[in-house]
Amino acid sequence: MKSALSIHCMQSEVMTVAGALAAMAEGRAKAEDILEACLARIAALNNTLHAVHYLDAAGARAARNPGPLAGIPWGIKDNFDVAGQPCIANSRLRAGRIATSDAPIVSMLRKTGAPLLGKLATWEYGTGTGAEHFDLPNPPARNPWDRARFTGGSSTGAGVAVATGMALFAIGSDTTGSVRLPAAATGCCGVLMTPNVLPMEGGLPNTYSMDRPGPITWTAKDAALVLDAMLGTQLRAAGSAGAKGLRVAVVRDPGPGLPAAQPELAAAFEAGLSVLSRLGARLTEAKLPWPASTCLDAARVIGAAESASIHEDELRRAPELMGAALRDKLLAGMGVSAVDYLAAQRFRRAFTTEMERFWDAYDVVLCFGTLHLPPRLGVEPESSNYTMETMLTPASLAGLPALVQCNGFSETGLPLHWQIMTRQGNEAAMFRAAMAFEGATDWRSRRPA
Amino acid sequence: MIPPQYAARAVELAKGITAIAARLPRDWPKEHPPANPACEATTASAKTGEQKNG
Repeated sequence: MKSALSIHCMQSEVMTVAGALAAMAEGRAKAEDILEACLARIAALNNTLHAVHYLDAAGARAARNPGPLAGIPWGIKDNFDVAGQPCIANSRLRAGRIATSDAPIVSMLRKTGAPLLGKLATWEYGTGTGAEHFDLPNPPARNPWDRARFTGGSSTGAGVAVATGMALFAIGSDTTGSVRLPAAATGCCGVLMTPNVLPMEGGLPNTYSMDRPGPITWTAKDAALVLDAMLGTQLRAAGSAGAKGLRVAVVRDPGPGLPAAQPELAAAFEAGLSVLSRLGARLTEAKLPWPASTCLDAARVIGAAESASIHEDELRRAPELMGAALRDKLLAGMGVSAVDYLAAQRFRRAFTTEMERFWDAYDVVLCFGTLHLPPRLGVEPESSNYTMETMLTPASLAGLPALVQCNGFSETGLPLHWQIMTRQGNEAAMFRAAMAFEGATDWRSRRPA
Repeated sequence: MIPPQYAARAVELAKGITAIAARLPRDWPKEHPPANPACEATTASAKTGEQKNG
């Protein structure tokens, strides 16, 4: 049995994927030590943070598969199927549902040897309006940097679990920010790959056309390690090439229809640009071909209509079992005309085409994610603004790879962030920027108390 | 089909989403099609499955 002291001593070193792999390779830690440390943190913290909805400690302890991520405990948002585990998606509509098979992304990760801890918190069906109504089966997850604040959603447990070391990485899903917002709110790294590189099958859909799974990790290097193990890519090696010569489009201005980023986010953005410039990146002030607010409008119309189509039968049969956020989104979606939906999809086509030309001049875009600091949980309009007033939807609409990473902390100790986007298939450039920045700063040394 | 007990709320929310949709650009050439409602592979590399990830 591990003593509390030995678990404590291990914590800071093995709370990253890279650190844990190194500690195991050098004989300084065993896989079971790392797993038990994660389980100890879940036992200590989950009653107040509510990040884990279903824990399978026995299954994680029994996992013995070899592989590149053997001994690296992870969790997955409770909208993906894991054989034999509940898949409730925080919805009364799915009470008692047990999955009979693994989603393909779960199968991919089992082959890496990583032991699965269980299912992580989510908004109902991985969707909502940004508002928190405290009316779902599980209480909302709490931000470990300030427990009165929102964790980002809809993958509400993923960032919390990783930031606190309950899990060393997590898988969430993102339609218009549901991986990137939790990463931003909890100081983690959240990644979206080119559409269809990671499979969404076996995950409950939010929309037909914008859902993507993605990892949340403490560092960009960890994300590269996880993706390399899953996909056979060489993102860690490619990302280690540094930022020298990287053509970076700097998009400071969200454009009309959105507020300016909060001052501390803006200050961290400028400080981060100085770091990348010193590292040899070629920074150029740029504008997206269309304002982020137009992308947001299109994504809201598409998202509401597609969600309403997906859940139409449940809305008809049992609307009272839904939380208010999901029900409101579906009711709004039922009001989208076919012509309006197609107008949004026509804009999407135009925006996607224009972004293709944009990449002739740039390797990556650097911009904000959300324009706000993590808001007080359930306080409106703070919570909705955090989710809605963002620069996340251009990547959602155009299917661009995107990465959110921590680039500092506010005076009150809340994580700050920025977003890096790139052309489809060019994730290596995104990781070059993120890993170079990470290696040149010490923001990864701070963890929530 | 909207459950009758939520009809009033649906009307209110429909006004909101219609106002959002009204801000979208509409002046496309007639032959400009909508995006396919699926996560599209829009670049040559993504269409062929080629990755530049090393």
